[in-house]
Amino acid sequence: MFHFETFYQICFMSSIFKVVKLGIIVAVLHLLIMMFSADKAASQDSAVGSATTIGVQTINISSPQALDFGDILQGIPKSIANNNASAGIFEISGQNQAGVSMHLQLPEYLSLSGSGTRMPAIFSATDASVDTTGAGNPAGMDASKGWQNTDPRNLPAAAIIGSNGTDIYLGGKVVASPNQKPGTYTGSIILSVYYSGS
Amino acid sequence: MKKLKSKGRKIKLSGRSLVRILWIAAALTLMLTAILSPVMSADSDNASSTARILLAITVTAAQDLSFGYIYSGIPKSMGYDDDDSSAIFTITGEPSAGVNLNFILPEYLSLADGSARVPIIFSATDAAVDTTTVTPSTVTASDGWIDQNPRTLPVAAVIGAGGATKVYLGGKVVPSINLKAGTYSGDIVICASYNGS
Repeated sequence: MFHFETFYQICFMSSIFKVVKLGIIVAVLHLLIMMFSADKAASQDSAVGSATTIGVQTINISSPQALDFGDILQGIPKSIANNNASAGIFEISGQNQAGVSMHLQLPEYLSLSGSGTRMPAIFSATDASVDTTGAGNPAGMDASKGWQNTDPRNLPAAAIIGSNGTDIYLGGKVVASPNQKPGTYTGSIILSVYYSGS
Repeated sequence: MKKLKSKGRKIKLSGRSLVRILWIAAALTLMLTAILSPVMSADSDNASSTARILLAITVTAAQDLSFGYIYSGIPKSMGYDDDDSSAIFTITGEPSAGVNLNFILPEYLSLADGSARVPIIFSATDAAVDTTTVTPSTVTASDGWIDQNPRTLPVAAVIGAGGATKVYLGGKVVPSINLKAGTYSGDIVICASYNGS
């Protein structure tokens, strides 16, 4: 005789058992995943750093204004200060705030073209100024803008290129002889600049 | 059918009954033996199971490798021993635990817009592993490992006794003669993991 009620109870209990077994399997798998995941996070790590460098801009030098002593008289020396409107101007451009080394090659004399006649030129220890504002205005120079009244043969080692460039203003003195031959005398002033690495 | 006699009574016992009695007697005998002789049939002891949980390992990039200004056509090197410019990575974790250290090093630095590159080179002596966490300029062989190949850091590396180890890194950049001006950068990745030693 078939006992439906008994059969139904058996089927029901089997279903419950399957669900419970499945739940246990899922719980165990979850626990295993958590164990291994937690273990990985604690046992290794990484970090990202950087290597950096700055490729500097090319240095450019120009001389927009010559040191002009103007008209001079025989036997009378004449000086031009570095803050005179006639002072020589050199403009330096390049990497902002980069340190530079600067060297001036100064003439010992100016000479008359075609004749070899000379007139001595003298540069004192205060004949140069270094303007890191790049203003290009010798008359407006002051100590707050860089180095004022410094030695043109020993320009500041700590000089830098300003955000608007850096200018050098140069004065000097010529000593005309009493029989100085008339004419236009000229001489070359050479400025060399290179990055100092600072 | 056997007949057994007892005083005043006769008991009839079939063969099947006798077998049944013998089985019951045997079962009872085994049970009594198990109960009365625990020393002979079972034993137990205590053993230990231990596990040590290690501190989580962490890695930080404390300082970048900085070459400063470079000039067209002029290579520039930076040793691992410069306090201000060498790369510094700090690894913290379980004191004295063995660690595997691996660098992923760039082949070049590039401008942010990718329009120019500067090759970067790492030599076989451009790294140091410092288990006493001094400084790049003062690290010596007694502090860990110096003049190491950053691509094959020491397999015997450990977290220092103080719970930290530092790795210092230098390198060399080789700009071309027509270097484009600007700031160049590249990623340096370090991975650290416990090795079980």
